[in-house]
Amino acid sequence: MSIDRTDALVAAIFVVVTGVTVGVVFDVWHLVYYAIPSLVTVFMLMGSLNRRDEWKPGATARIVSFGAVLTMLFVVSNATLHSSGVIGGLPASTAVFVYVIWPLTSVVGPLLFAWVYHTWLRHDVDDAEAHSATQ
Amino acid sequence: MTPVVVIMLVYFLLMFAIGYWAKSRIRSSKDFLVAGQTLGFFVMAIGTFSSIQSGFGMIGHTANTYSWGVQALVAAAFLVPLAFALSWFLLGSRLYRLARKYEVYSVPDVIRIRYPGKAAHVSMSVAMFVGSVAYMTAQVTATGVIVSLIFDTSVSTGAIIGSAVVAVYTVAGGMLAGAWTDFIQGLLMVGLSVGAFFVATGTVGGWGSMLTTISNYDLDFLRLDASQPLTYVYTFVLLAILGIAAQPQLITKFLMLRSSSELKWGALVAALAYGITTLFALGVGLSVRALTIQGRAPELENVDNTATWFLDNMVSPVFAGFVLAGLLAAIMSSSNSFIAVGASSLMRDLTGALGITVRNEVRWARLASVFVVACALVFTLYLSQVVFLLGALGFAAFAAAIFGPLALGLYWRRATGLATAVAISFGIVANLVTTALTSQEIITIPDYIEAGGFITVVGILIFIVVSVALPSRACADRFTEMHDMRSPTSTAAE
Repeated sequence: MSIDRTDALVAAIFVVVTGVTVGVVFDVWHLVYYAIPSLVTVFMLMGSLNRRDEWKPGATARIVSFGAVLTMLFVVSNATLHSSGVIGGLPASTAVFVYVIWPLTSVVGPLLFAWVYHTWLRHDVDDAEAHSATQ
Repeated sequence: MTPVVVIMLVYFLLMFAIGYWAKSRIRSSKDFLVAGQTLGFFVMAIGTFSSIQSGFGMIGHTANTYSWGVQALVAAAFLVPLAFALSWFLLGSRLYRLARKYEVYSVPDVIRIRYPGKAAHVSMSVAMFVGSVAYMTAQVTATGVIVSLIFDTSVSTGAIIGSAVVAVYTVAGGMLAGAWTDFIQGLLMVGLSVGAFFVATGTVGGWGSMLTTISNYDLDFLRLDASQPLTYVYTFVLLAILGIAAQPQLITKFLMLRSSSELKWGALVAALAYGITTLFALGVGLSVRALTIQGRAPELENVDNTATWFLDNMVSPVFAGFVLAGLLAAIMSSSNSFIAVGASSLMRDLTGALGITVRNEVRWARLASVFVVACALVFTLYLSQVVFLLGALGFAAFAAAIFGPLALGLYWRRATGLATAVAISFGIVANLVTTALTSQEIITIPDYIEAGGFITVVGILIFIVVSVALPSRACADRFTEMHDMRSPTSTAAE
């Protein structure tokens, strides 16, 4: 069997999850922490593949951008973990999670799916719909 | 009769009415197990979120927020809406296609179609039944606590009353009743969470004043590394995100949609609803902490009583009644899904895997539903010493057993049935053994290790390694057939 995109993504998942395992065993929290945006991005990329193992270029770019923004917010929260700064009544690192990451995960992530589905993935299920209708 | 009791009786009557309505529409096992594939996105998405947001999510997160600070919600709630986006990305279109192409009503059905041979199908069917009874047992226990508070009964009597209510409408109307009661219960949970947040923060002068009270006393309480080790917190995040995408009550909802256009907005509705219900734990947990600092609340010895102390002491009986109805809704919405999942695994999946033909599937599905509830009640009432072991077979075991075989297996042609059977066995055995050994103090796990999350990621590694080390041509061919993929040579010849 030749190597396809899914194989490459599963390899990436394997690397990240191995890092998580090492991080959990040896109490290296950064390995677990940065695995979160990494795995979310990889799984979104996997979920945007159609059944012919193809990506829509625009969708891939948006998913990677979402992952990059999420990773950047994780970096900001990490960098301010021990700072004395307070934002909206919360320590800065906590405020990043409560005021930015929480709304981002609740709204932007699902909106990204809606866009990818509308412009790309729905074509993958249209023939199933037609097949079902003829039965 | 107190206002709380009246509200609860009205709530129970509403659930019975939905069960009666659904019963008149049940014609086949398809109606009973996947609501006849008639659901629109709003009902499906609200039902999905409400079946995920269990009693632990409302009462347990509130207790942890009171005890640990905001880091409790970083661990278990703020990133969870991403799990809904991931579930729709990974499972939505692929499961919808399968549901239209094959007769797929359950997770073991998906496994049966994806992997040839009986090992994967049988092991997933057994895992579904054991896991469903285990999950139901935990929900029955929680139901007993809430119902006993409302009707002033013993916890055992409360468990029997609560279980009977869920059993009646689920046995009568199957997942058609389950989906619509989940929908009503989900809306109730959203409403109570918004109300409870503003009422709770209002008791200490609002959101800003509450945070000032806490930070003036101890700013560290609001930090990300307040009390639990960060490795533990972020492993919990991974467990929550990956685990939700592997919960059977969520997966089967994708098999219930009436058309492909219903997939588009479901993730947004479910994620928003879950995000809103996080307000309950955030508002009540932090406000009770602020009240304790002000000397208006005692330092709670049992933090699990945080929500009930607040309702007993800080709000009107009518408002408390609505909130308790919402908390009961959170528990019941998880329960009815597991009754249906457990019944399906017993009546359809296990029998199918063993080559037994079942006639009159609806009747047997109802009997299997009663059996699942009866098992959970027996464990709760008479075998309380093993309830903690069953708890280990709930969320984390499903996460470790299902994520690789299903979420990866739908995309990865190299995934194999053998790897599926190994991953399922590992997920269940590892969670069970870890819980048993730690509870008996035979082993001690360092406080920075969140065992469920750790077992989940190791389960994914095992699934990948076994699939690559012991490849299966038959499983790869089945993948090609399942997705109607043609080889490049056959396409060129055509």
